[in-house]
Amino acid sequence: MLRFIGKRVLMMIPVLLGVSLIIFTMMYFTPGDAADMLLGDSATIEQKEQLRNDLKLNEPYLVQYINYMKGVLRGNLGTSYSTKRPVTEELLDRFPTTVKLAGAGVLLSLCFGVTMGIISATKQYSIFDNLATSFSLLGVSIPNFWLALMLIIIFAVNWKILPPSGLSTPLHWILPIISLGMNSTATIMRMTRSSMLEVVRQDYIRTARAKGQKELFVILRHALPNALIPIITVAGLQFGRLMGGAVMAETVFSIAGIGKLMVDAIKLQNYPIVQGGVLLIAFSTSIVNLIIDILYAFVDPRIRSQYIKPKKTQTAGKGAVTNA
Amino acid sequence: MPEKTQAEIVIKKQSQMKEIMGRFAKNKMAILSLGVIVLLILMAIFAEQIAPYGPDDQDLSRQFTYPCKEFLFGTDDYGRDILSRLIYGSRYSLAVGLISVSFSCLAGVVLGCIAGFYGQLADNIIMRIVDVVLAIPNILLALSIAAALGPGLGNLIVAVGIGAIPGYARIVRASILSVKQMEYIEAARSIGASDFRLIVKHILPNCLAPIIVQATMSIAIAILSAASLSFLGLGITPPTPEWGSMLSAGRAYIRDFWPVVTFPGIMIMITVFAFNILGDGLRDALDPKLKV
Amino acid sequence: MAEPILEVRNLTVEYTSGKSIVQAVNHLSFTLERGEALGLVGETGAGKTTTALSIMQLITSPPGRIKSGEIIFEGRDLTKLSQSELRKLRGEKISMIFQDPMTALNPVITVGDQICEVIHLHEKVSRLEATQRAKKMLEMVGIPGERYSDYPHQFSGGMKQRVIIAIALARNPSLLIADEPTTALDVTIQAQVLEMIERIIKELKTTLILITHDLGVVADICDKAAIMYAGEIVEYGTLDHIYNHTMHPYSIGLFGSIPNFNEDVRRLKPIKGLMPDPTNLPKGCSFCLRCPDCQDRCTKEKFSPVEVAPGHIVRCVKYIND
Repeated sequence: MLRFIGKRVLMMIPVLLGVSLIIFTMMYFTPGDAADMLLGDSATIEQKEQLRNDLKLNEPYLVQYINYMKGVLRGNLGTSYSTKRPVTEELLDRFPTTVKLAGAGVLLSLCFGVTMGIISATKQYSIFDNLATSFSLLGVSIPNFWLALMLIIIFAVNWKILPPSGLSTPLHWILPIISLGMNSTATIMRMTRSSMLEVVRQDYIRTARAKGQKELFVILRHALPNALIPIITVAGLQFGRLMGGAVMAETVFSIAGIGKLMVDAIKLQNYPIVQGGVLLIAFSTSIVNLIIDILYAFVDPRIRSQYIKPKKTQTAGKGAVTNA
Repeated sequence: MPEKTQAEIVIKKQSQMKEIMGRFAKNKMAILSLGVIVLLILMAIFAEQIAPYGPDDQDLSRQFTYPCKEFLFGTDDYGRDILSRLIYGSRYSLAVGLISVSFSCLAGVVLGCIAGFYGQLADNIIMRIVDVVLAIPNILLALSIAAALGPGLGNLIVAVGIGAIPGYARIVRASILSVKQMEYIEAARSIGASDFRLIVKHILPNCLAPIIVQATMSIAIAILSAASLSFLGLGITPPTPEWGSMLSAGRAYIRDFWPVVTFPGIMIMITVFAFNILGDGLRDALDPKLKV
Repeated sequence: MAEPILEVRNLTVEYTSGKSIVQAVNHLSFTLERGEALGLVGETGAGKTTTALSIMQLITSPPGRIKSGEIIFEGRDLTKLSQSELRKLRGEKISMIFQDPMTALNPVITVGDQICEVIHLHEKVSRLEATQRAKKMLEMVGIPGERYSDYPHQFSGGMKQRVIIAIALARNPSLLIADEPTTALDVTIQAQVLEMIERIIKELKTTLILITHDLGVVADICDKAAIMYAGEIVEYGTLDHIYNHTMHPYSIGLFGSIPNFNEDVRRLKPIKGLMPDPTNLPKGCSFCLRCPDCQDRCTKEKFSPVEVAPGHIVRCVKYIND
């Protein structure tokens, strides 16, 4: 198991290197550079040229990238053009907020999505199923920033029961999490439903019923664990999606998270922040993917036995036969 | 995919097509969504004829009119008719959706074919790049590309399209790997078919179904992403009547005048909804085994 | 031993698919006495599995539905019992061994826990005791007890079928339904598994319904046989009746299509034609389209079963004395 995790961590490195290269290249070729940003329009060409030399911005592209990566390895993502603070600090200040938002969004969508999906699948074609399926189609189609605006109009402007922006009290979290989690709830619900429908047709479900097991336990103990792999896969993907989607929610609700920081940075052409932000988010989604891969092993003994070196079978001959 | 000879497949094709059409026609929701999409396209083409006003006809004397007979959806802060702007706006959303998907579909299919058919080094390089692109959340990728390229319709299409390429590449690669070893491919190869012919004539038709479904669904995603970018001010900027940018401009008046932020969102939702249902319907019709 | 444990009367089961109705079982009746072993023989699609699932009351509805008939098990009509009463019977009094051992075990639960489950469901025992009993069951079917915490994917097909048998017999049910328990297995394993089933049911005095399309297996294990065709029992009797005094043209056809070592037969005689379309069964005798002795009236009317000898029942025009 440890070997597997180690291998997976090693596999993350080229991916993150790739991400850094892509995002660095994109920002490198974007018009405008540090000198323009830091000194503003009033500075003379000589002053700018001086600064470019100081910041090693005149070096070739590849050298600059290597310099940047050297910094990244030491935890130095550069300096924000606008605040002159280290990017790492700026990002880490805001990072927990975004992770909490995305995490809460995934949690919410898991709770509702999985429950609704299970009920829908066990009562296929019932009224609940039809309603839930329509809801999920709406849920995947609704633009989350627009949903956020509508929630503000309804709950903050008209009914005045929930605050429209910020995150200072628990009440403040409700609207952002709903608007952020709606898409994922719908996606997870759809996946749970189809996965469960697939599983409840399997023979071992009939075996469980033939034992005299109660329907509720047939579903929860026998069907759900077998339907879990696609569900947690999707849930993991949702985390990444919500880390990105937080950009929208944070903008609408004026929340000081990484997403809003990055959007503001893009507008101010504050590229170190954008680079660092993308890298940090890609890193955290890679970590989540790793966790998901490890979870697979807990959920499915067949995957587990692939990770662990095949242990010696106690009985020779027949016992050694494994059949997938 | 049962093993069939190519001749059998050709004979079966017609009846298969009929069967698919039959299954699709039975799905009322899918037919309805197809109707909605056709209407939206007509609306985009004939915007000049349909829209009661020009998209930029300003009249400050009538700003913030609530929906009434004259202005069905009301007017915005410059007194422009919201309905007319929405009708013109469909051009942008549909253009972004359709063009970016054709672009990413083509790129993804080509990459997937190369990776799946030639394997080894090409496969490794392409799939690692795919992994990298997938490691960046879609909206962030589009955001960064849009930031690098600057605002504008063309740039928006590229920004939205690139993130969708890996999806196709993966589907096509997987399908190719699964049919590559089939006997009819061997047979075609044995009579001297070129690689290109093998791929286009024998392999691709077999992964058409998942590609079509993926394309339909990703139109929906593309429209959503484009609207999001415009909303953030990174796609199409005001005063162009793009739905996302209309929302962005209307946001300032959220407390006082709901129509400016409500109707563009509803349009986005209807469009995305229609493409999603169409995609679902196509999937069920093309591959009844997947229907659950 | 003349006490009936199971009486199926006039059982009719339908499946609806789209607009067409598949009549899987039609007016099926038979009686099974305690301790007997009945072989239910027929081609694929004859309604054997449906019959078994009806007895378990596990017909998935929709699309399936027991349209009419009674299934009287130990004096109670199963079709009228509530779900919770049925749950008390399943696994406890009536057990079933399924056709495909590859898919009948839950892949994410250890085989031991799957056996324990059925013990826990029907008896209040401590975890430890249940575990021990599950291990004993494993050993009874020839699997070492220490493999208790292995998962199904670590077993071969034959071993999985043994586990399923252990699950089915864990509570010592009075009726065991084995639905083609060996079809999915290798020929060499088939014999082992059958032998084991035979040994255990003799030991535990379990009543058995063995579903198969293999007349040889029935001859080995069963006391009685019922030949099914298109959802009906066309001939029913003791082994002697069925094997030595075969009456129904379909049964005769079945015997003609298997090799016989005692006679010097040059060619097997397969039954001509195919099973009738179950959505559109013939009005008269369902075998009339393939029957070599088909008469005019066979296509027009259904015949009632006739008892040609005590306990030997045939449903055919040839044995009706008007």
